Amino acid sequence: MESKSYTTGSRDNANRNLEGSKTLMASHFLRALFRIQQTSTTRSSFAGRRRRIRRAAYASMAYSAGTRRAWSRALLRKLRSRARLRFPRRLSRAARPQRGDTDQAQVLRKLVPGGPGMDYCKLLEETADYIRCLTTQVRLMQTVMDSISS
Amino acid sequence: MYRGPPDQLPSCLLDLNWEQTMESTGHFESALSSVDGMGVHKLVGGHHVGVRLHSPPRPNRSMVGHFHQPQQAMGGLPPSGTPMPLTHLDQFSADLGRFSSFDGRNYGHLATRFGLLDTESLSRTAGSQSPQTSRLPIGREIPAQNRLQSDVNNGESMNAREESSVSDPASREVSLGAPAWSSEKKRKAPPKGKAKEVGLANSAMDPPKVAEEDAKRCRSNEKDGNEDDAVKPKVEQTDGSSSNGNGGQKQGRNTAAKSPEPPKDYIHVRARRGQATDSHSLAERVRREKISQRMKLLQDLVPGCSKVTGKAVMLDEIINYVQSLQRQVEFLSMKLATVNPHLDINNLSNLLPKDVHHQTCVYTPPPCVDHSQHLPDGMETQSAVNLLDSTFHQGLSTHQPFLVGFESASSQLGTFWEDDLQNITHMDIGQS
Repeated sequence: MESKSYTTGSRDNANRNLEGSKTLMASHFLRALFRIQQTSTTRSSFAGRRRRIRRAAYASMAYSAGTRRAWSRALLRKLRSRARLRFPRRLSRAARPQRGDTDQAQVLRKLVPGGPGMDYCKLLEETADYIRCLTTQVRLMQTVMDSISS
Repeated sequence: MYRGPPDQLPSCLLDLNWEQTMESTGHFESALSSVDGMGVHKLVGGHHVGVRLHSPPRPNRSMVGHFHQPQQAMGGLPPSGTPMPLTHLDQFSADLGRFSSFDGRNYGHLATRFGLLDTESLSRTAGSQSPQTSRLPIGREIPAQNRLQSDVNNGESMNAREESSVSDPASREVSLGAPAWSSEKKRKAPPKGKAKEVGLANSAMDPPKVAEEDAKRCRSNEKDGNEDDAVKPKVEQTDGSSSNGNGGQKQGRNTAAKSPEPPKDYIHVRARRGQATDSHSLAERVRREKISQRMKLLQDLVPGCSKVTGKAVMLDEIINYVQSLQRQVEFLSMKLATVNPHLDINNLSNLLPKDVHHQTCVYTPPPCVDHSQHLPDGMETQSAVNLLDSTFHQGLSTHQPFLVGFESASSQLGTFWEDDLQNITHMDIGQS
């Protein structure tokens, strides 16, 4: 189950990879933004652009986390499957119904991508990494915002 | 709102902002690992402060009491010498290698990290003195919560068993005479203790993985047969040291009689008093500890949760925080959509900080001020310009070559992911 050391290893790995993952995330997100800006015309709606930017944000988050994390894998799967709605899905990963779950845990499962497929222990671990990545992404977007509108 | 750094100067580099803010979260982790290393050195250096786990008060209390008596007995302990610790380390690793052969578990990592070194030294230098007796009175004082103590003592008893030549035969017999459940704990506790303590220590090493796997292996072995497991150490020891290879995990079907003796070994009683010994509850306990460790991690991540206690409240806070972060992403994406037309220059300028390694980026505002006015939008240009070299001007005319150059520079982007992104964005366009 512990393919990755969760507390200790992840902390040090988070420290070591922080710079690299931030760079990855930033480059990915900025390129996506640039692409969106280039391809958005006067016809494209504001809501459509917003949706695309939001998806670019989550995509860059998942991209920076790579396949190491269950939540990033689930997120990428979701992004890819939404992109290919027309094609038949191969497998729907049915999550095992978790027994003995508090309703808080259920809410958390809905929030964190890939939540339904994990046990509580793994859910907490994935939540921690997800929060870390989310805060990085939010800071990135804030910085971009500030740099644009200063 | 859970905003990060409140003041993000537009003139600052993208890099700097992030590093400052992320380091605040990183400090804790690095501090933990550094403390752990310091703790080990302190022990070996003979300070005898006690095992410096990341809950210092507890081990201090116990370990100080632990070390007193042997210290009085033998003056040969390392309070004197700094060369001692190094030799100790070498000997320890050798002995711990033997440990691993003994029952297949890797105590080396744990021992080096958690001051089993000193206990090792105690048992070895003690020689004829039975460490058992010295431990007995201490065993009464210390509360049952101290798993480290139990683990150390278990390690010590392992030491006693391992070094048959050194330890007292009497002490060996006492440890041999330990009843089924206590010896079962001896074997279960170390890997469990390892898993717990390694988790507690939060040290970034492979040992956590090894410890976890060992704990799992131990647990799975236990589930095969509790009673049989309990008897194993006694049986092996009576046979002699030859059974080292067979011990530990390869739990055969030895159905030797269980010892009906009441627990004489106070250490084990103290460690596990009031707690069930079957594999299910032990596994449950390990699981609960894992969950609590992860909750601690989350507590560090979520701001304003340090004083909150209780799992329910913590979970509420975590859920609120995740929801607020997701809302922030939505909000910021909306804001970015409104200012989208102005993005092009900023993309380029913000990209540059990542490329800093390739260029020498000099922070020279004055000479670059002129160039900033050339920019069509002329916004945040300070930040852009400070990073820019002359290459910016080359790229200014056309954005494409600049991005291409950046792409070639950033080798992190695999083409695989590249394609995925393009698929996503292309599909985006297709959908909307």
